[in-house]
Amino acid sequence: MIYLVIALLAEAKPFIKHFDLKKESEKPFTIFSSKDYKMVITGIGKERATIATTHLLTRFMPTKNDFLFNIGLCGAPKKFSIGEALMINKIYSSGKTYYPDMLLRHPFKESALTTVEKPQNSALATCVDMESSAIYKTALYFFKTSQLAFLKIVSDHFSNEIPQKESVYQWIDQHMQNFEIVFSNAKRFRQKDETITSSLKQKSIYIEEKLKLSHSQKLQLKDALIYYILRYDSEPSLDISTTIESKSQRNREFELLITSLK
Amino acid sequence: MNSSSHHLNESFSHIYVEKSIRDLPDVQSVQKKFLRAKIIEIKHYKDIFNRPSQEYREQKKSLSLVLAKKEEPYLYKGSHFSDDFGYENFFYTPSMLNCLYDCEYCYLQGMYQSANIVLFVNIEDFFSELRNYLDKPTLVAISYDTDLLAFDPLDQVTKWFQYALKEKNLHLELRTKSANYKPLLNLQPSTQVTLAWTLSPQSVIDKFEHKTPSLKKRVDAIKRLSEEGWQIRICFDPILDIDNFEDIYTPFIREIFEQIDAEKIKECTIGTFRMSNKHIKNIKKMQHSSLAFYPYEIKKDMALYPKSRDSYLLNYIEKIIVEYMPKERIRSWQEQ
Repeated sequence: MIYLVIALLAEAKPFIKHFDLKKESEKPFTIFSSKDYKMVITGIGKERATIATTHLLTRFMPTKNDFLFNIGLCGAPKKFSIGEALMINKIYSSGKTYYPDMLLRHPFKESALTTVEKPQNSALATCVDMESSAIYKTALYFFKTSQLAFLKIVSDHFSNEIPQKESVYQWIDQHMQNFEIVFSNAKRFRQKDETITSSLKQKSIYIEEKLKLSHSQKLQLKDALIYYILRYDSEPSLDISTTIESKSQRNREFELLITSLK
Repeated sequence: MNSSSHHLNESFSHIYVEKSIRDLPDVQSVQKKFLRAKIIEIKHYKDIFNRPSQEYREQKKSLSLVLAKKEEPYLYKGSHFSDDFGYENFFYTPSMLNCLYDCEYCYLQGMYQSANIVLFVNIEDFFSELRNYLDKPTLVAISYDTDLLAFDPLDQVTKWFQYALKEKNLHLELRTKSANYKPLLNLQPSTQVTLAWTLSPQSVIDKFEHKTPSLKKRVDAIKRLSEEGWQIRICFDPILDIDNFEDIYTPFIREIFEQIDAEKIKECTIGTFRMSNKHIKNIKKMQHSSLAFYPYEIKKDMALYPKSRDSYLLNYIEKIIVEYMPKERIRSWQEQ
């Protein structure tokens, strides 16, 4: 699943249209989705970004194979052109610095970014936005540093002008092919699946109950199962038919089981 | 890069550099070796290396390089997992953190939160601290939390070896799996340096020592450097308790000594797999390698093979080696 966290509907619309996202809910934050995407519209500023990101990620809990993109407009120094798309490699905010991992291959220029409290009129050395640091901090409760990326589109060179919606659509649409490439790369970002499948876990729970295993025996069994699977690249067959009538019998049965998994 | 990782950046596509060392010639020299890398300025290496919520296994697929200035201490007391070879002072020195290679039994994956490589550029500060101890015979392991010969963009191996020539009480150990022996051909072999090669059966290399040179390449490196006059130690360490242990390790050891003249080898060390239990617990969380899930015995917070099995493995290997080398030149690591 690709999670898209976007401040404004105008910034989101090109993606909604391109990926045919459907509105899933409106309150407290608007969420759009499809089979592969979940998008939340946060509104402007760190507080809204924090709450909206939390809302999205608690409602649709991510797995370790998912990826989150924050996409939006930013102010930028003049070395970057209006409409240019940037991948952010460093985020400053309130005296702290945050670093998303730069593992994902992408075709964009890279830049540092400062997340500010208010719209910025005077020029800074970095790009500026009003949400990224809050999204980074919030997302780390759900993701690893390697599962986050921050894509920004330059809307101004530190002026107060509010861009026309049509310009925003055009800036984003011109990069859509590259966004697709990056999303596609993120979809290939699959970490290792859980070693113990849910069906084996069920069997293991059945055995734990049947043998009345102690806490430490349960941990030992889990380790033994993983050891078996990683060694032989297949699942062991777990069959216990004995009824346990004493602790010593349980311990004997348990030792037999563990030995069979070595 | 292998075809399955085209969605990721190549390793060293990004170099993080501490602001305070940005203009140092050594830093500039490393950057010149990675011209396509994007440079990201940082305040302190721990800001990137010690971040919370990093994914070691994912970072291992696309390593970043971090250039930093090490602060004190520059030397650490040698680990009790390692042999001190009878030296009064035994230190290891971390001039680099982490390794290019990806061995499933490596403790680094349980020790660090990040797989990225930190290279400390202030090697002179390491030398300065070391001078305080050189009134006694001192052993320093210079390739400890890394494999320095495998990745040495600042030629630190050469700098260490040249430094040792000036200090009679200093002995260096360079532990490696690398086949990159060419930089050493330009140096004068010295009795103050031991090159310690870790050798494993090719099937163990294939299964557990990812991204490392083949056994043949390592043996070729040993042969070449022993001919040059370097002191070589062969490390059969870690010995792993694998299926068909005898069938795999017996021909392996015999082949090594058929190819390498044992007379030209200073010594062999043998040791079975062991690791701090804390590191094993961290590695287990990755569910990456069967080695972490072996039913070890935990003794003094160390994960070890059960005593009887451990002794069997060590004795088995030693019995073969003594056919080629006197027992006095075989050192064995075993928990007392």
